[in-house]
Amino acid sequence: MKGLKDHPIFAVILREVDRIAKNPAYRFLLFVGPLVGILLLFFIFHQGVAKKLPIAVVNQDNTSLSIKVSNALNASSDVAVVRIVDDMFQAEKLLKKGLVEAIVLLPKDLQKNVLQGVEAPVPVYINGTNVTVAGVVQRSVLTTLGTFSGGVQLKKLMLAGNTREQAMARVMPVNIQKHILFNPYSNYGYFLNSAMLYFTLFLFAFMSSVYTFGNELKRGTGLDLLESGNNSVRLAVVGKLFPYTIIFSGFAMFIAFLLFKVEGMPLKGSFLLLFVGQFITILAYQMLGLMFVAVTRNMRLSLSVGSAYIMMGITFSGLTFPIEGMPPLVRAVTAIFPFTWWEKLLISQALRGAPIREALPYICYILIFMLTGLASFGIYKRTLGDSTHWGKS
Amino acid sequence: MTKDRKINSFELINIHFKNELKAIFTDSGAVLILVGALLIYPILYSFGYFNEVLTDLPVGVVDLDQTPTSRKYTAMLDATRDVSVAYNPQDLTEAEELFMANKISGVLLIQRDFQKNILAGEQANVAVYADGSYMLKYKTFYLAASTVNAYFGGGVSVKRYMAEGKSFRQAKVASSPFDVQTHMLYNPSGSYGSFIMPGLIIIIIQQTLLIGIGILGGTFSESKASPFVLSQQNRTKEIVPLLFGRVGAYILLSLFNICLAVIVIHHWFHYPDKAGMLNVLMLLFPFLLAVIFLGIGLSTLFKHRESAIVFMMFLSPIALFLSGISWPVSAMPDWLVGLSKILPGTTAVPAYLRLRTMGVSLIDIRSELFFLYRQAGIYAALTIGYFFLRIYIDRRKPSNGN
Repeated sequence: MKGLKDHPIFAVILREVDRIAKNPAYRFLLFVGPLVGILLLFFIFHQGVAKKLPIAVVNQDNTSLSIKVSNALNASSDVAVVRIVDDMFQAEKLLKKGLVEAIVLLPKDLQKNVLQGVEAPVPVYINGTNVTVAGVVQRSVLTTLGTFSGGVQLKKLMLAGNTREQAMARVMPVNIQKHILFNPYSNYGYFLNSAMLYFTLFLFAFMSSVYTFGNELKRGTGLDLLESGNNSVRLAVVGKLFPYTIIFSGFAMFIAFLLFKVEGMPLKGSFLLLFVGQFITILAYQMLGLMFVAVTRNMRLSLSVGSAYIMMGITFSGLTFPIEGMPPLVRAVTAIFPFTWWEKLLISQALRGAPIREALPYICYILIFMLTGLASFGIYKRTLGDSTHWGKS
Repeated sequence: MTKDRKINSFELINIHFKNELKAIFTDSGAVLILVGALLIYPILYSFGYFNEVLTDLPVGVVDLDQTPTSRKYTAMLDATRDVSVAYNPQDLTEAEELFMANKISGVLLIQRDFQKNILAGEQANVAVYADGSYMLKYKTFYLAASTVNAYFGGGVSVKRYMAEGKSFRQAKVASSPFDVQTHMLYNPSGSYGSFIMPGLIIIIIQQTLLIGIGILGGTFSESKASPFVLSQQNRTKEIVPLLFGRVGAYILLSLFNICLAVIVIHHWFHYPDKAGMLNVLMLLFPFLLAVIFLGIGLSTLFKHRESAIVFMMFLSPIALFLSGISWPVSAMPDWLVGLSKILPGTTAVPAYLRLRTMGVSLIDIRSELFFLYRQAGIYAALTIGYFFLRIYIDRRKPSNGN
């Protein structure tokens, strides 16, 4: 009687494990690559928020007021006054060398003008080259100067006989309360890190799939594979992918551990949904890998064209620039990357705690990508047995 | 092998230059990465960032006051470039539903008695609920709301001073003792494409060169042929011409890529271009040298054609982050910043952006230029050292003695 152990799928799995053990490229795609990629990205974003950004103050006034302003700027959370200089020319040099991100000019007679109630311009020059950095600097400098200016106004009003409340209502007629939903630390790190860690994993899931299916063609071992799989391409594909799916799912759990436990990223929705999501996204990328090999019948072409397609997933997932801001045609293109849907699933479940019904369509869209692979089983089987495709890399 | 004595170094350089170009253009995979990628990536990415800024982000305003003053506040918010008031939900519960259905990206709540407080000279209250799960949306909405609030508040404050008998000008000065004038330099609209694309193009040039050279190196290992044309005892003389020839081939190819990605794409999509082309080339030359020498050095490690893609593709997005675009270098651990200097792009991108976007002179990027030349020199020396070692080992193998 044949036991379960003799099922051809085990023959395929054992055959694959043997191939993995013998070829360093497989080991890299399975273990070293994902681990290095994940850890590098983890450390890039680990601190979460940018350290204080350097700015310069041009102090032409040199009064107690101008020194107080400069100290207040230095004390704010996002910027540090690294240089105090006397003239604009020096400050401009620092800006052009990339040593400071902004210049605050405190002109001559600042204190005198403020006390006398005459216009006192305070020009701020911000390097807008890096939009992210410029945004942080702008917010921080404007808040500090605004608070300082409000403080002066408050003092004057109280000296004129107003109560504190009356004076406050004059300084700030409408008080704006700020609530940042779903990411109370306004941490850009969570956002980029969570996306990039999973992206790296999916990239490796895709490349290892292309590599292992492509290698059967390159080395002309297709008939041997079919033989081990009892001439069933379904068994051959499932058996070949099995070790990879298991190991990449393990990495997915490692990423979840890093994000939710080590980094303390909020997990407001259902982890079960995310778990299912990461599992089927890995499968979807593996199936896409099979499709690329089946269609191109060439491992290296699949690797280069395929990874180009995968890479574009970052830009078109709305990660860096929201999909809503893209032209309509481009918005349609974003749908052809599984990563777009995974990203929506991750953000809605982890950060927003959205209802389950919002997640279900995303999961279905990801499942559709798996069909591409399933549809190419037949082509792959024909290619495996066709010696004209052997030896081509 | 018989022509050993008659060949001089320049002829050797010429031979290797031609051989490398021939190898590149007979390999469709290498052409795809070295030339095709530079055509496809920048154009597609540019379309992704085509609109450059996020405009008219849909938000909801919950107006519990329903007075002319509160409506004016809402209208001011709606009039900004950044957001548009798409819905007026009755209460926060309804707003939350709209939010969860992805109809709006933020909510502004105007409290009851808003108008009454304003008229009575008391402080009125509004609350902003911004979506922190998408950073750019959060920033856009919050900045728009704060700006509107400041303008609205300024108007109210000025009117109160005028009611006390001050002139308009006096009232304006009194309501803001500091007249803060913000000048956003070099990228005044804060547009995303102009910010990310120039640096991204440099990283793409680096990665495609590294991977493309790696593919050819792998092809060479697979063919098991020797790269040298001279006989074994003369090969040490051939190392430098071999490298010069190869580097020349990639520089030529890169010139084509530069024309396309650094000149034409910038022109089509109106990316910032404040630098003279000569200065840009002065920076890109040591950058390309460093990248190509690094690529040739790395390519000796690859045993198969596809290995370069397998081992290096995943580094592309990481190289982008390490160069400090989109995530500040100051937020990374020091050891990682040190490690990232292995890739020439880490040094070249910030200098390139200062040159191209800010329009600084070469003197202001002097230290980066020297660093890149030093880097190119070190990689060249390491590669030459490797070839010497290989020839030495080959000679000691008795089977190879010819």
